[in-house]
Amino acid sequence: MQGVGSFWSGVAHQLTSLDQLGFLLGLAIWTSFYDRRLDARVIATAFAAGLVGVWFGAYVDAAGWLNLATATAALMTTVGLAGAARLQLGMVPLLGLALIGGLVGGAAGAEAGGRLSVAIFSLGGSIATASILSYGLLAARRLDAAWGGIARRAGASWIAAIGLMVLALSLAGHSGRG
Amino acid sequence: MKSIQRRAELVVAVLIPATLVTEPALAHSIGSSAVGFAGGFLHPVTGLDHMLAMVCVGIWGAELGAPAIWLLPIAFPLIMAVGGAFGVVGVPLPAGELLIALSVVVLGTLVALARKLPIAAALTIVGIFAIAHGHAHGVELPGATDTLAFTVGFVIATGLLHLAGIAIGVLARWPVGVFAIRVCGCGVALTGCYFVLGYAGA
Repeated sequence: MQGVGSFWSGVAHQLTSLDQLGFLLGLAIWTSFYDRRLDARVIATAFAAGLVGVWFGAYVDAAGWLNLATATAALMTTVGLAGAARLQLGMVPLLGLALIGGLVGGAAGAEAGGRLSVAIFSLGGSIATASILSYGLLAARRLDAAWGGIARRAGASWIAAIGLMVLALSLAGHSGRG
Repeated sequence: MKSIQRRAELVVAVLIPATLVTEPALAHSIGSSAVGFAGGFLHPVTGLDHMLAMVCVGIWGAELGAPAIWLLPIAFPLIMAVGGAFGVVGVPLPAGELLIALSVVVLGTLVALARKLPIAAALTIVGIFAIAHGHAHGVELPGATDTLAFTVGFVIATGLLHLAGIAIGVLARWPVGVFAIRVCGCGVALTGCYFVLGYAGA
């Protein structure tokens, strides 16, 4: 039963983490400007990175040498700017950002996981990550009309704006969390 | 059909107790996030100067047409966030409140006159005011209950105000809409003058 609790805790952590949600939605928006064939690769990369990230955070103590909140804010800003500018830089930057984001998100989850089962917590978090990305991509790709591209870019700019503000907060020494 | 229903009942019967025995690793306390989000969302909406300026940005963008109609709502949050970052880290902005009051006057006037400017000029004007508005939000940010949720709230509120302005601006398709928008622009500009006088008087 503790395993089931760990699983749902992993899911709940991803779903309640505004900065993680912002990054994943921003990634979905940016990916939606690429070819559809990259969607599965982005989702798979983020899923796998999330799995690894939790282990990384749990056993390497990533939070000890990396401010995960600042890193997540920086990722939000980067992916938001890329989406707002509709950048198409090839597959490598896109998958690279998904990889780094998954690792950071997983490590942040490990910090909150505490005494939970790491393996099952990571599975829950990664499944939530993949789900958020999948639904985000589904929604973004439906916005194919002329105004849809504008709406996606505006959404990405909002995400970048939020990331920039939180980054400033982190650099100014505020935690950003209630 | 019955077997599917029974399976669904079984799944629910297992899941609900399972969630009850979890040790939730919630990233945020729901209560503080809600308060933070609400505070951030209400900040531009309940501030008349902020609200009028944001709506006028949307209306003016609609009057300018493409590409301004989409460029302004995309660029404004980003420029505003730069101003917000300045406010958070403590970079002073001289006469920030005066700039905000002037933004209401200038944007209201531009809307009333339906003044078409080159996109670079429009972005420059809007950008200067975006810095001022963002700075005002950023100064209040560290004191918020949940600063991340507060940020999400005020960015979303700002974006929605722009959208509202664009929706109003679309009324310019009709002659009566043009007249109504210009009257509103005059009203906004006069309100802005009241803010400027209030600042000067203070």
